[in-house]
Amino acid sequence: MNRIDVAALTVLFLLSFYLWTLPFQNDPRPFGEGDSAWHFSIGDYVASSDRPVWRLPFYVGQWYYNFNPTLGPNAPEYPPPNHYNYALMQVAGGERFAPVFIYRAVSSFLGVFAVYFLVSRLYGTAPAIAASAGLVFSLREYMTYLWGQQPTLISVVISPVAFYAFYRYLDSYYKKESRVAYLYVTVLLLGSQYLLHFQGFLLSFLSLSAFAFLMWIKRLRPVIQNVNSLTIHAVLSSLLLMARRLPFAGESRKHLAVCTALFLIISLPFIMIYVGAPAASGSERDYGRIFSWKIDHDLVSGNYPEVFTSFSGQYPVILLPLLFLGIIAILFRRSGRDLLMLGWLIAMYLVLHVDVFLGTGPARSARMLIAEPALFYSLMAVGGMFVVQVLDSFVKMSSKVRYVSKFAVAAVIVLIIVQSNASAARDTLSGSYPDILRITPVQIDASEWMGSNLPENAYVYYVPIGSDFKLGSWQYPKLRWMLAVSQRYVAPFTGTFANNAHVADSQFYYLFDYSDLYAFGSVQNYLQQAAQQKTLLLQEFEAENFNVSDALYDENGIRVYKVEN
Amino acid sequence: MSGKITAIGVLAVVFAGVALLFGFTGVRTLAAMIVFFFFPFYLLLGRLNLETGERIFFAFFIGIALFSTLVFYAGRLIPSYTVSTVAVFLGLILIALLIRRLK
Repeated sequence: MNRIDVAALTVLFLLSFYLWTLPFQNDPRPFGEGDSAWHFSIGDYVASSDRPVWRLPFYVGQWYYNFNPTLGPNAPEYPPPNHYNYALMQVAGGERFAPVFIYRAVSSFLGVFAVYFLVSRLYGTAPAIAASAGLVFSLREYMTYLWGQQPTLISVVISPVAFYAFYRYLDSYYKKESRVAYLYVTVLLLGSQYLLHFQGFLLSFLSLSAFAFLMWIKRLRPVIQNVNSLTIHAVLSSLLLMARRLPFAGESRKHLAVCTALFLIISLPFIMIYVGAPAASGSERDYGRIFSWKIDHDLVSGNYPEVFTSFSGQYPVILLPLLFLGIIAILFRRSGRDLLMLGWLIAMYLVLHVDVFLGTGPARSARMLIAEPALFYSLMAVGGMFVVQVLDSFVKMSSKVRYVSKFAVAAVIVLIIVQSNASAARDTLSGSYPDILRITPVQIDASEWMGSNLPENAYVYYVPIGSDFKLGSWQYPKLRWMLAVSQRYVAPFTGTFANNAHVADSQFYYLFDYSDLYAFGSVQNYLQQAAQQKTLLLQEFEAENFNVSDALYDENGIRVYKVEN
Repeated sequence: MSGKITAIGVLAVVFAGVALLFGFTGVRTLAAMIVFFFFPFYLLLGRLNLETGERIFFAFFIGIALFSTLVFYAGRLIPSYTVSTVAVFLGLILIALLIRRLK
């Protein structure tokens, strides 16, 4: 790393850290969707109980009860590192929320550094600055971070580091100076991704497979050129030569065997977490998508906003020509580093079409869009440098002019990215989950009361499900955050009481939360009338089933009742 | 020597920035990431003849998942999360030092 690299990385870290922590710089309350609360609650339990857990505690296990039928109820749904890391941050940071959210922010923008590392090593400092700057303001990344799907994000964004390690191995192998250390590092990085989330591992595995195949094909060229007759002997000896050029032939076989064993040691103990989980439900396979890169927003409108799936929502459209130039450059040059990028492009295509190839449904493919910005910004940077290369071939530049030109192009790309995406990123991150869209102080008080006064296996029902009592879908993550904060199971009431083996000894409770309804109903706003109507309906429901004087907790418009069996 | 001075300078700037936003909690959190995820694995990769930059990146990205997984396994023997964490940390440092000695 040269001095510019060190300075660039420091600036990138400080900028990313400032930007991505905006959601909780002035408001320390936790935020995110239900997923966010779910992941938080497991690590929170490990830290607060000081117990390493093999099974989920009651209040988390009931959430997706028996999600994995093979492992049974209360089985973990992810390998341990994500949640154990949260616990570590709580213990080391000395607070409940801030350290976890700092860790979430940092681990979510790690892609900035992974891309910088890969691109600087392959193409130099200038394109690395351009490519990684794009990820600082990457909408898909920060939206996923805000929603709380952090395990997928961290697993995906670290892929470029694994790409680099494998590239170094394969490059050295074909230069006949094999550096097997890089092969072992690759396996450890793939293992790391596997433990964080399977999707990141899948992306890397496909990318590296495609890259290895392309490198092999490239080495076959002289063999194929030398086939001057189609006799059986000539064909057989050519096939033998082809096999010898496989990246894992010869001496590296023993290392490959050790690496395979190492990966199995890392992965097998957790294999049933992935294999035992129900397959993602799919819809009819749309084979027409094979010829299209993008995911039609209509297919995933219930899961993602349009800006998430569109090209213009993510990238400055003016950089589109550079993306094409980048692809043309790697196809034109086909050096080892270019083939690595090509392998990444092929893998990206495959993971964006898992709904077509595996029938998993387009929502799963859309989630993999978080892997695309790292590739596209890298290709744009490569495209920018290709412009300099082409110019250099026409007007012979001195090395100094060429060097300055590369940084000038990188600066233009960075300026376009900042101009196009920075203010939107800052506004979204600083304005995310404002005021009542997070668990409020009075709801935190009620949750803490539940944590102190209700038994560990208490089953607490919240606002009944359905539009009669709800103001908006944002109320769902709030009740899950009340679950996380109270460490008691809180769920919407669906009309019937839960009945499974683990609630046989549970006491049921009912929580009436008017605090949000009062807040909206008492001042003029677009929800005032709806809030007042829903308050009346909820009061009717409460009066039909409970007597206010029986409430165990009655503070700030929140009441908790014990349900008499 | 200049590399060490640069590293200390960068860490000082980064920690100052984090402290400005989140005070001592931020410093402790970032320090935990460096100490637990990065440091043991940086030492362990010392014998692989990697460049310093490569070693830094590889160590952090391996450690961010493997450290806590090892704590998870240690938890089978040690019924305390905190003690498991300290034991794994010290164990990794010890292994790294032993590997260095075996040179």
